Amino acid sequence: MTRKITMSASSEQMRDKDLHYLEVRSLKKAFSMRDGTKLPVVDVPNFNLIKGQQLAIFGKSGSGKSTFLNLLAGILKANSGSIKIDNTDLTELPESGRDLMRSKVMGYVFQSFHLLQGCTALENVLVAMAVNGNANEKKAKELLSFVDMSERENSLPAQLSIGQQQRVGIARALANSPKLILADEPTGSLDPENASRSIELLKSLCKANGCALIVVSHDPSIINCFEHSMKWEDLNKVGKEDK
Amino acid sequence: MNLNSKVGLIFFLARKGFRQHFFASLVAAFSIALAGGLLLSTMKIQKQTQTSFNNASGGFDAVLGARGSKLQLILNALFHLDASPGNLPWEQYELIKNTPGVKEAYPIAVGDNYLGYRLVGTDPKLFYDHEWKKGEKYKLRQGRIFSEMAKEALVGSFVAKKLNLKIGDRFQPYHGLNFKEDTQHEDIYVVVGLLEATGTPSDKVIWVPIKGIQLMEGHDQEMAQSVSAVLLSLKGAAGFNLEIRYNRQGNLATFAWPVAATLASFFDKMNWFRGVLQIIAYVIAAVGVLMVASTMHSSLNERKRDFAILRSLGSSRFIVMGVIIGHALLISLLGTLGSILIMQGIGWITQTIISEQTGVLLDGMNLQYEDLWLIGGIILTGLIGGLGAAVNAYRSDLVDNLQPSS
Repeated sequence: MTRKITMSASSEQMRDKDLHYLEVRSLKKAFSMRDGTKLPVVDVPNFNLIKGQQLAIFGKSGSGKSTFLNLLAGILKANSGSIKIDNTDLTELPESGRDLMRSKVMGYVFQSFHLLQGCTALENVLVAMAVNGNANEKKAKELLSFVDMSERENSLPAQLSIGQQQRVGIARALANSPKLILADEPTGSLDPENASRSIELLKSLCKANGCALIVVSHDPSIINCFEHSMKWEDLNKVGKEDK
Repeated sequence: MNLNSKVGLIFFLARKGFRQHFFASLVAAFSIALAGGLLLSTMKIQKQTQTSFNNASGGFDAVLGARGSKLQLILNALFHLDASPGNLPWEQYELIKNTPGVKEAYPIAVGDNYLGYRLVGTDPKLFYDHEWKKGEKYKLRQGRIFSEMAKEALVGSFVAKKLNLKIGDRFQPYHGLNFKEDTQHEDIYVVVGLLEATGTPSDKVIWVPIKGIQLMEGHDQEMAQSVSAVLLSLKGAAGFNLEIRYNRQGNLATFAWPVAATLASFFDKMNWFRGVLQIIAYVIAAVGVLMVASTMHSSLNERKRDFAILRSLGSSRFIVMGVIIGHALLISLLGTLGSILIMQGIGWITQTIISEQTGVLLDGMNLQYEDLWLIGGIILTGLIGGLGAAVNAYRSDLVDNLQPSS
């Protein structure tokens, strides 16, 4: 099977800057350790994503992929570098600005068990909309029907299987018609069959909504599902200067 | 609920938190209710009791009686409680009745009862002329007022109800203020009238002509020429003059005036009891704050993941903080509602006991504008309990609670 490993800087597809929805430049993040030393985790010199592009990033567990995703989502603040989303530099925004950006243009899919436990499937989607001031029950129900969860819309997460919870998570990520969906190990808790089904569902819904998608996973098999994929170790330069 | 407003979203999620921690939230609300209810009750009951006792003094400004305690005199003559401090010669009644500035003077004689309810002898004019409350004279529910020289009785509404006395019923009084079976007099009285309820101690009395008590079989001769007290309505500066005449210069009688001030000093003496109840209420309130704090902290610990998810969806720290405060507010509001119910319950019990014991009907224990600050205080108490957890929620790091897997 032929796979196209996409590095933005080397991709002809992404040369046209106008097409870039996401531009990352010299992004660095290090965590302070208890002994006062700094542990560098992310060092991405250059990364781009065009509108509607779907990309899988795979790599070892604990190598900084989730941290990278959290930086892109504005959940974490970078030590240096820039993250431009639709020409707005996320790193220059205060926390409230990043929160707003996240609610308006991004969707986040987590590994399972990341639904609000006290809320039903429908309420989970509605709350995501409400954060953006846009709660719409009809649309929420429609999204749940896209992921085949209409019949369980009034069930609490504890009453759903892991696969069903993940589908609700996908519907929730699409709640505010985002332009970018970030998925962190979305298949981590699923069996291979459900994993593949979830990824296909996520991809098809993103495509239908014109939404770009970045999936990070430690599972190399995930790249089978994507036209564009890349190895995290190729993207992240942490420690490579020393070698 | 409108989820699109921030407040709507906060209260939607706060309600969810309340349901998720229903039992703990309920216990916290109950402790606030208990503290608030006790505080509201002690403050309102004391105020209402004082006001009601002042209003229940039967429209009299002063009492003249035997030398002794002013309070005992007032309690005995106006509230029909406590023992009589002694008797006054009839001449003293005549003297004060004719003193300038004395608008009304009614002699009373006590010393007998019927099945535990006091017989009070007085002048029938009391029921024709006297206003027991401004613009209110005694009204008959049935029958007529007793005649001055007959063995007739006019029964207060409370007694009539308790003893099921009707017009034409006959009874033989017992000697003394407390009922003892072997002290029955031979005199037979007939009920000729039943009074309408006034909500004052007169409802708990069987009224008879003063001559009836004075000349009751078995009473000594001296009593025939004496009165237990004289109830007085005054005008002008008569109160000051009589105070000087009886209390400072004379030593024959005690002039208890003004009634309200004497009663106020009585209630002041009971302040220690109110103080004890208030200390208990404050202790319970402190427990309430701790209960809310504990509930909110355990809620926060269990919902850290939920809050992190909310943040990842784009909620600000303030929304997360608001959810915790909203939860604490729901507990406080429930506690406040409980406080009002507990206050009403304690009020009803107190009302019943005071009415049974004294005949004084307390006014309703309804909330008034002046109670709003206390209600606000109860709500604030609950909020204080939630504040620590709210600050923690505000400070908590989103990423720690999302637990990245790689």
